[in-house]
Amino acid sequence: MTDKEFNICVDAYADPVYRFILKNLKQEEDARDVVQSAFEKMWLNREKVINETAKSFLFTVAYNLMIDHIRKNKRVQLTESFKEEIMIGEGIAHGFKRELELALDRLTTLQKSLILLKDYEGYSYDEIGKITGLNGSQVKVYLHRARLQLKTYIGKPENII
Amino acid sequence: MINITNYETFFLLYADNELTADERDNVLFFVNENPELRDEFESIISTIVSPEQDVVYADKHFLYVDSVDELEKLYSFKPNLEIQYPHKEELYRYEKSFRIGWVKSFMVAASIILIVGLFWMLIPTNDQSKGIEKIANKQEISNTKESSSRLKKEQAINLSNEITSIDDKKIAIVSNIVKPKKNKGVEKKIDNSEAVFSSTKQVENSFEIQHISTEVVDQIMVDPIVVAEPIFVNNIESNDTRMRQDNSLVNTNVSPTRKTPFRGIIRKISRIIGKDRPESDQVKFIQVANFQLAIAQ
Repeated sequence: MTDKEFNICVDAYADPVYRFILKNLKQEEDARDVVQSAFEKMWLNREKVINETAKSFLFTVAYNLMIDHIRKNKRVQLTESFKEEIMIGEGIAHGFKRELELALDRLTTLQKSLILLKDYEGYSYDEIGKITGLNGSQVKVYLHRARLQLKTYIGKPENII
Repeated sequence: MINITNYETFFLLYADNELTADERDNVLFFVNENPELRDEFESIISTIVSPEQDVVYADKHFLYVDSVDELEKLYSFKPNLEIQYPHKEELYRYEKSFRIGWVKSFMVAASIILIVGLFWMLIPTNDQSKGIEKIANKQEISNTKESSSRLKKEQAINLSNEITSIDDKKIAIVSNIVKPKKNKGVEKKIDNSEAVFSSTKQVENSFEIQHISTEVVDQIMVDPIVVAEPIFVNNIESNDTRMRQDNSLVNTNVSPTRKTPFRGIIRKISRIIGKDRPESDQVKFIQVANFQLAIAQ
């Protein structure tokens, strides 16, 4: 991978990776750090990475960095406290969409990641499995469980504002 | 094929966009055919999270490679070479080395030469024949004086001279040392014409045979009182001419000096330097160590 190809990857994949990480971490600075580290790793491994696998490589590295970041900082409670600020900052005030965000936050990191990778990036089960370290069948099962969980949460009348 | 038992799975696959176009059409047809399942289908479809396109990574320019180079240039530091440590001499360390200057070397060499020279001057010569002869002469003289004074007083004579003539050469084999001292009483003269000192032969009792020249023997008045001593040193050659001049016998009781490598070297040097000079009656030499000093008469 040349520097030009690397810069093209920056333009193409920086935003999706950033959205994916930000949706999980709920922290802009942390998400930026993760994205920077992911691109730094890709630059260091530019001889091994080709254009066709660059996106998958970036999401894989970003996902692993995110998991490490979550395990290291254990900011579960802190994330909860910043939840309202982020929602205000993002301007998410719509009823159904906010409800969906709340439902999404109730999922585990893996489930949320599976949902986001599927809905945001449109990856197949196998591709998600490569990123998350699962196989296609597991991804399918976990993803369906997550959707049913979201449907259950959203379907309750008390959860709808 | 979608039916009433597996429709949920097809709804989920529809939400995951894992169905083909025909399968998707079949799902939509199945929902139209079963309107009671429409709410469930829509609730599953509502779980699809749409990406937020307004969320973008704001600092992409930091990720560009060119920007990284610019940042490296911008934040790179160059050392100020004008800043130097003032007291470097305090930090210097040297390993101790044993050095000898040329003056010391000269002094050492001179001292070695001096010591060797002193040894060479002080150590007596290793010429065994000369040393033995000299010592023999001295001891012979002293023995002669003592024995003569003693023998004069003693009248008993216990001497047995055995002179045996061997072949026609008339060599006298004297088994005992004959003291060359005249006696007023009885004078015996050895009639045999020659008794030559030659290489020795063993006789009985391991006594050494000494061959005495007739000239010496002529001058010797055989004294009946002669000390006979067995000689246990073998194979000592003597020179006839020297024996004539010295008028002495060889005292073979003097053991030769011990040979050492150092003495061997000194001896070789002395042989080269102190070669024997032809002796004459007009010039006498005094030997000091290995030097022969001519004395003018």
